[in-house]
Amino acid sequence: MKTSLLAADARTKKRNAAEARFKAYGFAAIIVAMLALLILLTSVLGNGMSSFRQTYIALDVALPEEKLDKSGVRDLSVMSKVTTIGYAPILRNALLDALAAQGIETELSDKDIGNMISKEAAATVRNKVLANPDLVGQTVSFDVLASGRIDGYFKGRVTMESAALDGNTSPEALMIAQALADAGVIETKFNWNFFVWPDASDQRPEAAGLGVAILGSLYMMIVVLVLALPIGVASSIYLEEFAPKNRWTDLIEVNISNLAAVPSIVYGILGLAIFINFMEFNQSSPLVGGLVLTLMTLPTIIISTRAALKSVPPSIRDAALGVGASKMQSVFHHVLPLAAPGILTGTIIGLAQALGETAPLLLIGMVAFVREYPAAYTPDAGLFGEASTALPVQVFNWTQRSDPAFVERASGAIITLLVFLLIMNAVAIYLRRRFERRW
Amino acid sequence: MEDMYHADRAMSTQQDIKIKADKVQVYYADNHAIKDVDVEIADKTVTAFIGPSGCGKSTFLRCLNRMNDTIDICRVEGDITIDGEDIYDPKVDPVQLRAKVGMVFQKPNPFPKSIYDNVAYGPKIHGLARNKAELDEIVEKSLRKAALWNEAKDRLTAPGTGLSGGQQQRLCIARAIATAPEVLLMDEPCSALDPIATAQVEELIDELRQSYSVVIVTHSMQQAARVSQKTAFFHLGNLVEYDDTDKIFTNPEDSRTESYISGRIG
Amino acid sequence: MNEHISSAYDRDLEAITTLIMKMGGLVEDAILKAAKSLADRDVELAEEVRANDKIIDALEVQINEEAARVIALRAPVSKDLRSILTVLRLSASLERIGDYAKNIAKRTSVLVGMNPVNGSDSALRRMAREVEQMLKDTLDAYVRGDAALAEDVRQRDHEVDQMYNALFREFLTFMMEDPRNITACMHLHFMAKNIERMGDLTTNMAEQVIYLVTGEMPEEARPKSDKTAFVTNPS
Repeated sequence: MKTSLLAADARTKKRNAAEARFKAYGFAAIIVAMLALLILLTSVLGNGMSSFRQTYIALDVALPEEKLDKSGVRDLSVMSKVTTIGYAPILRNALLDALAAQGIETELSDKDIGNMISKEAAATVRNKVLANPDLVGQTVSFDVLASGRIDGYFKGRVTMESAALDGNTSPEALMIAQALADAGVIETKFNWNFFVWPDASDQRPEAAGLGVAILGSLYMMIVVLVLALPIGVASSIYLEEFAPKNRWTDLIEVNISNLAAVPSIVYGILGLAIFINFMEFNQSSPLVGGLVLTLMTLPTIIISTRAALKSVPPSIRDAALGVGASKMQSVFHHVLPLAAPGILTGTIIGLAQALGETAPLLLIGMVAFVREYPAAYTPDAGLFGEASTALPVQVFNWTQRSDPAFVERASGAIITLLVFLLIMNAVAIYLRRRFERRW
Repeated sequence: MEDMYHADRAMSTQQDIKIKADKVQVYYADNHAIKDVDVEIADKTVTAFIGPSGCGKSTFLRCLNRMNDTIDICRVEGDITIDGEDIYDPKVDPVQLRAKVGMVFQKPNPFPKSIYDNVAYGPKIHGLARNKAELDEIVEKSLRKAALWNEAKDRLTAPGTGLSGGQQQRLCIARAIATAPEVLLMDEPCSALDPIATAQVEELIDELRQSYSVVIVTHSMQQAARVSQKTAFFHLGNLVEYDDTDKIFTNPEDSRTESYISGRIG
Repeated sequence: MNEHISSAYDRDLEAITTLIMKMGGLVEDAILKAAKSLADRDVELAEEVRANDKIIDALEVQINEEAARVIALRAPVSKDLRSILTVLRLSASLERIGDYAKNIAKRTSVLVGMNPVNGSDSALRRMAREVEQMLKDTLDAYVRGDAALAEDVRQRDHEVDQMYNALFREFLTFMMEDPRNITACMHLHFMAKNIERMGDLTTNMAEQVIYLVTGEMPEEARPKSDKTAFVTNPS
């Protein structure tokens, strides 16, 4: 019987339906994945974007000589005896003066008014005065940090209702703050200090920054790059181009693949045992962190480098050998340059992985509260030997704190980390596109 | 006219022996790929190796410049001499051997570098040029010999991979002759080329015969017939028949050769 | 010999062989009929021989075209190449033999009106039969690839030459005896010469068959027995 092409038979219909169903499943899976990503991003960005803005109070602060430098000779050793406790009332008075100048009346006690200013502000002003003693006796304009609750009010985190139940603030304080904001005294500005300042104590979320964490992560990345890239590339070239194919190299290959799948916390235990307990490097130091991350990144770099080397067509090796190049010349003159984009991509992805790693760093003590910027080198601690923290660990750290202001900080840190990772991946893609060769 | 023709043929068979193989055996692990091959390849002659896939002709070709050394499981026994020197002697460095015995591969495989760098690479690593001027000269001479100079002289800095397939293969030939070899091995040099490019490369091979001993592996019997003076037929690792090309193609001795070249079920 | 991997190639070669055999059959027929028409003074039969020559000529053209096609499309080598070359030579020879038979038939039409010359008709017919047998054997040798048979044919040309020698002397004698015999004898002589040439062509074909089978032309000179070129006077 002749069948028409125009009418689909039952079998074809069934097959087409199956295909359509399969496409629908795939599409649904993509939708679910995209939704998850969207929810994650909205949550992180919603929580974290506000950490890049910070509320400041513009105050004209009179710096009375009788309080700050009784001797009047501007001797720093004497002046530094006045602690932040001495500076706090000066700021409080400045704020009271500002209230009076704006004609804002309040029933709040002076102490509660003073609490509207961050405890960090006194330290900031003190540092400025000690840096420039001539300021004493003058009236100087400062943008001082508002306290975490006031900051939270302007970001919508603190409301009148929650303030009523809060021991650290009150609805009246928020109303004053609102009046000051209307008058232009309180202002919310972009917060560079978030990337520069070190971590701050539980009571001062408004002063907490990522400075130490970024520096620590940077040091670790340098250690990883300097160690993992040469070691990884050298071992890949040896395994791929020179090593005889026998049971030993097979064993090594299998183990490298296995190492890539080992949970990162195991590397942390290893680092603790070897680098800290046995070799006695400093705890919490970027050096140890870098070494541990190097161990963890090596398999990734080796695997991707070998893949890149393998993808160089054998005809290029033949060509080089055919004109009388030695094995090494053929590898270094021809194979390696062609594999370079792949190697770079693998390395950057390995680095990105290391940058986001938390668990092993917790084990080697990088979770400690560090307020001092670590130096790259000191005679005592050696290279990258000073205690530090790292970006992902900082996130972990902040999420543990009780004040909800730290949730905002943690989200901000996550965004920062994600941006770094995106930049690194973008660089990897760019390098691959730029140097990819066709043959 | 006819006398001249015969004189030419006779001369080609009376050339000095360049390469001599004696009882050559090749094993890939346990697989006996080449069995007892004896062959004498004349100087300034094109010798073609023909035979079905897997007959060992490429394997044998690769023995002649020790390209098989790069394969771990490959083992070569017997003697292969070039100008009377055993190339498998432990004192022979395969790198030096390969400068003397150039090779052109099946797929045109220029380095992803400029045309100039492709040709200059061999002379550079072997230190054949003392300065830039000498290197320029070698590059020009090689490209001229490979009949590529006119097409490439204005674009020496352009990448070699940007040339057409036939030009790429001639570039590979130029690269091979830049190291001043005495023998040129060609492993199916035209199998990836169109007929015009093939004809150009064949013409080139015929010219190269003036200066080199050329050994070519080919799947195209017509090509073997067109370019070679001597033809060797390989079958299942054996050298079945080795004779003058016109003899092989008009009246072969062995029925296996006959079946293969006339396209019969053998 | 094994079959070709491409079966169409085998079919092409077979088709050409069939054409050659067909042509050979027609030529054999023409030889016999030409001789018979002479013996029987049968003008109609002679006419038929002359007409059939056109078919033979057409077959030669067809074989040439087929051979050219196979050379162009299949690029034959070794035995296949030799077989195509052989086919071309065979068809050319057959066509010439056909022409000779036609010539005999033409002369038959003239000889009808004349008195038969004493016993020469049957001698010519024997000679024609001998050549026809040689041609048949040559074609058999070609089909079977039998070099020995072809070599045998080659040796048998000697006998045809001997017959021609004898007839030549006979005709000379007749003509000297009675000048009125000259016209008939001249025609009969040309017929004999034609048959002798057919024998030579058949021998060439046999040699071509030997080349086809062995790849080499027979080197030793074949026996030449046509001595008439040296005859000065009948003895």
